[in-house]
Amino acid sequence: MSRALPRQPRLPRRHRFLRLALANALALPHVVAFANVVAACLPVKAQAATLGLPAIQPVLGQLDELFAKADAVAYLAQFEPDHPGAHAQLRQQLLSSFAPGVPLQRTSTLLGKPRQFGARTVVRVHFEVRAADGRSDALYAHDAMLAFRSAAGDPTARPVPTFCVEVPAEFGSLPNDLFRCPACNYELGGVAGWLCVPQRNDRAQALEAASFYLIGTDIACDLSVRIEDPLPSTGQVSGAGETPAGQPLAVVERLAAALRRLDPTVRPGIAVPWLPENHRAAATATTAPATTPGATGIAGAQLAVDLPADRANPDGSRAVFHVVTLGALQHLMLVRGGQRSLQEHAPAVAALLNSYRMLDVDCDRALAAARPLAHHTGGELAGTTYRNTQWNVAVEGPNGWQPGLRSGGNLFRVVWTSPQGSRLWLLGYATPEGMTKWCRETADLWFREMCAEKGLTIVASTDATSTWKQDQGCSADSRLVTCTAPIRVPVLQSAPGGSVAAQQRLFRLVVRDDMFLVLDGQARSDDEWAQVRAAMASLRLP
Amino acid sequence: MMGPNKPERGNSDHGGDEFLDWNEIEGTFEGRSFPSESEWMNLPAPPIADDFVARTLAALRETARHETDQHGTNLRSDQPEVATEGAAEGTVVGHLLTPDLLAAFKAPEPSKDFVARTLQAVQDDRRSRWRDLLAKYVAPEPSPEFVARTLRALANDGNLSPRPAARSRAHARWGVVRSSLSKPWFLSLMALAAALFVVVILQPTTPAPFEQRVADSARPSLASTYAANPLPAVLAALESSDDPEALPSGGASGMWLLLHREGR
Repeated sequence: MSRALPRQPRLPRRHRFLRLALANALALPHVVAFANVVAACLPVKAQAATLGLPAIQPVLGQLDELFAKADAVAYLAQFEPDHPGAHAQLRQQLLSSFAPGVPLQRTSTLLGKPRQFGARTVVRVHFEVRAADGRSDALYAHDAMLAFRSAAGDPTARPVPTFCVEVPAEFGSLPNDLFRCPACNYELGGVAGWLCVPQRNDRAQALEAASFYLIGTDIACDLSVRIEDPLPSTGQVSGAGETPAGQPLAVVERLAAALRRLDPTVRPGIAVPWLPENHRAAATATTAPATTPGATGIAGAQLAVDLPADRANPDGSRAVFHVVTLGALQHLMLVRGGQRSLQEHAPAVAALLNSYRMLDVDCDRALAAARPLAHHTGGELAGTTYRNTQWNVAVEGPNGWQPGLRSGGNLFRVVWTSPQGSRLWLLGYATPEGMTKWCRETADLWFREMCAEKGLTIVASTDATSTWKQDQGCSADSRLVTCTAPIRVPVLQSAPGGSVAAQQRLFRLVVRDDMFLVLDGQARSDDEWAQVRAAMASLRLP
Repeated sequence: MMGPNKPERGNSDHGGDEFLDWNEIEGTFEGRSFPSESEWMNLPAPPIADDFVARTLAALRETARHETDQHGTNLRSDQPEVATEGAAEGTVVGHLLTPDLLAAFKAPEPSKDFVARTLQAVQDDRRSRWRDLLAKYVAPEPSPEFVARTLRALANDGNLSPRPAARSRAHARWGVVRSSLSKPWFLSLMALAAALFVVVILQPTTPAPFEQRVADSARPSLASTYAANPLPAVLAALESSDDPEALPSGGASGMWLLLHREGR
């Protein structure tokens, strides 16, 4: 026999209201948590709102304060880095900026409008660094691209910087992040999500360079343009498996070998033929392998290098060299990032690489190499005489010596080589980034540093020519320096009428506000030394 | 049972017994002690007698001759040849083995796991030797008798020579420390701390990011060191290997020059 449950007494109205309010208050956190879980599971389709300049400025001010305190740890802790490699380079730059006993102060100025890359807002910032004592000659200025992250849908939240990389001040903003150089005969970029950051050629060690960053990830693609140098006339080979210059397979293998010398823990793979999509169809139509120049005249290769696990990528990372060649002209593209990131964003990487296009595939090979050199260096050879109208430099090289233009990070780079293997170099160094001009002290400092790099010993001299003085033939200061170099080549038998002096190097240093010029002579006989000295004396800087 | 041929020692002063120079008690041979394990590999090869080749060829020829005359030879493995006149008593001269006997003494085929078993045995032997060596440096846990005896001795020592108050406090503290050291739990704690210390020190450090490793290998005065990408360093290394004598083709770091100018 069932019995009805006793009915609970009915609460007064106000008590019922209180009970309802209490129940809602207790349930609200659970409802919010459930909503967050649901929101996290849903694909994010709406992009974060673009951060405004008023939100970013305070963050820059805080970074400036930490910079003035020389507190690199706290400075870097403000970041939640997307790209650990770039963050590590930022740390390197900060530590080099903080010299003991030299307090600095920095001011930041936002340039242009913020740009949106997915969930990131990218801005360009101009930094000016001065010595805290107010000395103007300690001014260091540079621009940088910074990326910020904010909470989606919460523009009031403090932006968090995630990325910072320097950009040369002389480079303006690139429309659509498309990097194009008709002189170097290529274009790359213009793909959504990729930020293009040009590089100074002296820092990039190339005629022209840029880096593309997939904002929000640790993936980057570094671009460089170089002209393959012919082997020195001394007969030195470029490496194991000597191959004709310009073969893209050999180029990527040499690049991987050079990388392995820097970091022995890397594991290079095997070079394989490769061409971007824009040129792949033409190459396959000729049935010729991509490595051999087909009807298009271009060839390409790629080589993947596996990198060990590190603090940034516990699963390891990868660097893939891509090269496209047209004769001696080389377009290098280094794609790097974590293994997992590269797999996850493979379509984006492929889209960037396939955006590469050589503008003139039927260009004459000699012209393809000469045009970038002429455009970026401004000089040309007429016989053994070198003239550079861009920098107002003229040098008459030694008669009977073979002249050659070289690429690199210099303003210009010329070498004359004698039949016996003697050489005369002409090198021009631009005003380094951050400095306003060269002076005698910085020129000497840089020269000593280069000598230390190459193991050269400066010979002390009391000769009048060894001190800086205004040169009559040049609108600049000049001096001569003698160095001794370690012998790396077999000592040749003495030439007729002369004696062997293969271990001596003679330098003529010329410094001007906008340029530091070095003439580097290395001769193997007295006659050739006389030719070297005559060539050095022929230098004109009107 | 016929034994193996004993090599002739015509130049021996001991009548052909090559084991006379072996001193089993002192563990020496010809007055020299056995070398250590690490010295084995560096030992020079033993000297080869001048007549070794001749003797070997003669023995081989003798074997071949006996094989061809096998039917006419009446050799039995249990009957060694009688020593000839002039030789020392008991010397066995010209012991020859037939191919059947050689086959009987042929080394058997090694089993499939012979190598593994041998390696395991070697490892076990080395392990036990290391354990024995290390055991010498592991302090044994003090026995209760030792603790009691030590405490009695300390107490007696304290009674016999009363110390000044300050020294007595220091000695009291030291006594507390020594008493703690004698406790098993304290020793265990110290061992655990030492083990943790060794693990932390020996733990392989995770390498820095790739870009930082490349930048760290470059000179700070070069502009390419601050390039935020590793390609310039690779190109610089490439150019340096192609032409080691040429000056760098890259530029200088303006910040480095400014900060290092005038010796700052």
